[in-house]
Amino acid sequence: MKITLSANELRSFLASHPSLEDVPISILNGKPISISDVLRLGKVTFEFPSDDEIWELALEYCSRILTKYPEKKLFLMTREGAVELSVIDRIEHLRKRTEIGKILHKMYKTFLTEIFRWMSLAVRR
Amino acid sequence: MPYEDRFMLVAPHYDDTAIWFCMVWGSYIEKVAKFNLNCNTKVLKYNITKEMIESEIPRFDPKVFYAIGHGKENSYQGWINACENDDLLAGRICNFLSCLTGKELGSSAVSKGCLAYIGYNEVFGWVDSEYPPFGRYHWTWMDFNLITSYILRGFTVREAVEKTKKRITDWMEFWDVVMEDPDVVQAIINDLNALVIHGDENAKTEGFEPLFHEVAIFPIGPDEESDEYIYVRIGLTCQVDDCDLTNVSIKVLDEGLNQVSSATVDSRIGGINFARVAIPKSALNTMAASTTFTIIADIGGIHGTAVGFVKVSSRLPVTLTGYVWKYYRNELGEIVIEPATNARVYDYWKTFEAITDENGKYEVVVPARTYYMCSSLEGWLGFCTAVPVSPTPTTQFRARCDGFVIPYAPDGHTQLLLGVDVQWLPIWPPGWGELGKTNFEVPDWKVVFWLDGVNYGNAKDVMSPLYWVNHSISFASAIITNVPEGKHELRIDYEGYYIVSEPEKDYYTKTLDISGTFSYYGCALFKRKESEDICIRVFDAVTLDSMPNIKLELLDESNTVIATTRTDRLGHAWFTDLPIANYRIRATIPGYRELITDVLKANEIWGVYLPVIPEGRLKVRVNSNIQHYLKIGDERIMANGDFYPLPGTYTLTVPRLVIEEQKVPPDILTHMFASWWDGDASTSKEVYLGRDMELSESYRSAPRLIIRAVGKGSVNPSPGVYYRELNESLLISAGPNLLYWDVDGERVYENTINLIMDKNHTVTAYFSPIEYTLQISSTEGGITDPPPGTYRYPEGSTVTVRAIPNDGYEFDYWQLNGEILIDNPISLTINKDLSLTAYFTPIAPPITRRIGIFLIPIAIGAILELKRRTS
Repeated sequence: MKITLSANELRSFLASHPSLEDVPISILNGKPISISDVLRLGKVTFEFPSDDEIWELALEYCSRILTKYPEKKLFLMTREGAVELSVIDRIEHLRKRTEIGKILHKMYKTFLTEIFRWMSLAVRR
Repeated sequence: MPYEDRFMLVAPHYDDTAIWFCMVWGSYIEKVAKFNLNCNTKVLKYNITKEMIESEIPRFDPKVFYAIGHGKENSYQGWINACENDDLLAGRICNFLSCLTGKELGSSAVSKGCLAYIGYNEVFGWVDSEYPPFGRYHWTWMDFNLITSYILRGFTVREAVEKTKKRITDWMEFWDVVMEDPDVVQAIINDLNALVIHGDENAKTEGFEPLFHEVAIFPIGPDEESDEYIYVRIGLTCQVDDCDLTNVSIKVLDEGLNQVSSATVDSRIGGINFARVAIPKSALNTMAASTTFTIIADIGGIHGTAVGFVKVSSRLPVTLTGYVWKYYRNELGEIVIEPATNARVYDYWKTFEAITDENGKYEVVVPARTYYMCSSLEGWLGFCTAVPVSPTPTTQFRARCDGFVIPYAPDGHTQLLLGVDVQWLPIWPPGWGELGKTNFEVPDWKVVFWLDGVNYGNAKDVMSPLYWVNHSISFASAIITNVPEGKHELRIDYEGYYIVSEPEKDYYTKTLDISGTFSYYGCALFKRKESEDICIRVFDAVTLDSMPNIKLELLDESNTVIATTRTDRLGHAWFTDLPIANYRIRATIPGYRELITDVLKANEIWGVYLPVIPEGRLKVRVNSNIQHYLKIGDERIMANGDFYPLPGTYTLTVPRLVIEEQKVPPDILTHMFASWWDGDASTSKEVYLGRDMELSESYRSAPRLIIRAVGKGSVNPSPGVYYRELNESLLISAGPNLLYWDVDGERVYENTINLIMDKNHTVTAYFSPIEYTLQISSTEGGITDPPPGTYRYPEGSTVTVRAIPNDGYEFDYWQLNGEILIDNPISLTINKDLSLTAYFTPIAPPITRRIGIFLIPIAIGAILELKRRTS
């Protein structure tokens, strides 16, 4: 999936979803970029990341929220039972690509899918 | 009038998180169903069995079935396994707030006659900042309960899901736009996307209108703070509709129930209303770790009184001083200790950081309540230890191995969660990554748990899943399912390791009596060895500085010196290769009081902190039945233990009231100060400390009483929060129009109730809603929706009326009790009898038609004139 937004469309998208400003959404030149990075770089077309890239993006995302929301915990009701994950735990699971890491990967992919859907709606508007 | 369609809630407990997941969220919908929707409700929770569920479903025959708890693709909580007995759901509308069950279980149940199945296709997740989940994020996820609530009210399954999605989307907007928190947005998206419906989306119950509109009031976290105030955002949600609660007043009361602040609801996103209260810092109980404020919104009408709580942590900072060392065995097997110089130390959440000096020492001022936290040393895996200024460091055990049993599971079976926990190595090196080089080796995380291998072979060889081993490498566990109740022999095989209590064995055995009570056992896990080492750290009790080059003597039980050693430059010393026996350690240091330890057991103690007291200082032991609340002069004593003041006169102060949360789920415990050791009951006293002594103060229980009123009526004592004496007898009465009391979840119909304050109580008086008449009429040329007629609505409810003109007419205006209004549709808040008339007028004809209409008489006139003239 490829998406193209004008700078104005991106700005208006961020105005209605300010929380997504620093969420890594794509890989550019091997580096994760967020929507604000996209704006800064003046890049208007970017692609939905591959599954492999999503591992990297999810890891980058957790690293970013570690400083912003250090107290955050994620609770997951997994097949094997309830899991309480600190942001550091999440980073470890993503790094090691454990079973829980795979759940986190899937969650992030769903998150990105929704962000891209919202962005495509912003274009249509 | 009882609800004909029955409702059944199933929420078995499984583990700590699920207890909250099931109990807190489950209890809320239980309350709504029983007390507000008046449903015939059956609840199965806590230690329920598979047989109980299977026998109760056909007997109770619920139309709506709500299951909360763990799930897999084709199973729920061990009750349904591989879609085997989901035919019991036939003829019912089912909502499973349970992971993954939307994948297979939902379609299977529908294929066997289930009317509709609401479930989740993915793992259900939620965010919180504290555990148990009563943090700022809690209410967002609890609103997933609304699905069941809407179904019970008669909405179709599709409508119930859509309306709930709308509420959750409102929450998402809040977290996105107001709080700018992408992590919550991510988790909400995950859950909304996972939500699926199988079967008939139009399935519905006969429905029942709620008697009242329950309002939840809760904090959504502090926003910011100034020198004088802590600003807390408060949320209010009507649990029935998206009611607009703008301008509702909120009172904030301190623990002494004095009003300290007020606010007004000033904004809303969909069904979520917000206010911002400014809590003065002067109202914080500086001696308590936190202060619990009561927030009350006395909305009145069908919304009644909403009572909630805001817990604010003490703002008093604490100075932390600690040392960080690296310990490891070198390639020759020697123990090496080095200061971690220039190391960046940070607590678990990176909320504070410090740099160690050349001796590995750091000092940092941290907010209150973080004093106990371990620190992490960057570049090393796991924890190292922060040695706080207070409390006084004490001897700690070197390892712990905990296994615990969760006995609550269906089918007379249980789920057994086994764990190996090696946390709390107080002076353990940060070098967990150096496994194999240390005295204590962590097993390779493939601990084999055996459970009654002969009689219950399925449980053999359960490998601890690696992903449980988290960043602290402290916990490995395995879950064994379907363990029958009764006695079982548990064997935990740690090859090369032994358990303290059974050092002669390579494995740990224990008879487990798996029954209906939560049981817990612990054991220490050590590497198998014939002799042991004891590591000692000697430091100045007042300055906490290390004491280098100190001579230490090891005494046997008859106080005979059997070995000596000296501390190194870091204050550390070792006695190595000790036979397993009891010992004491003695230190005689010029300028310090002589130190002799209590008995140490070589195979149980690995590390010992030895504070030595400078001469001239006193050793004062603080002892209280409630910890952390004593102030001596300006110093707050963080825990029971010793401190070392100079002789002198000191002012001792304690708070009048202490509120604590304990256990899982937390029990709110409240305590009133009772007296000092000498019987004095004043909260502040002066005392001369001139010798070693023990200070103690005691508190007595003061159970909390919450009184609420829903609907219009009087209650004595008035709605609010009270702290009473333990076992005090209280009469609480309600005025006329009382429907019933909800006393801790039980319905009571007497106007006056006699309550014994043997524990915390919550009582809610439900009064008959006051109803008013709305008379709707319309003039010729249109109708209204609802159609003209007389209606009765509960006070405070909102009604929308739409004027619908006929062809050729248009809506002109409303007349509401004589007042002219022009909005269409019109939204009315029912707070008195109302008379509403819709006025319609004919639409003026187009100009060409008008000309035609005028021309016709002219033409007729002309013809008549012509006829007259010709005749």
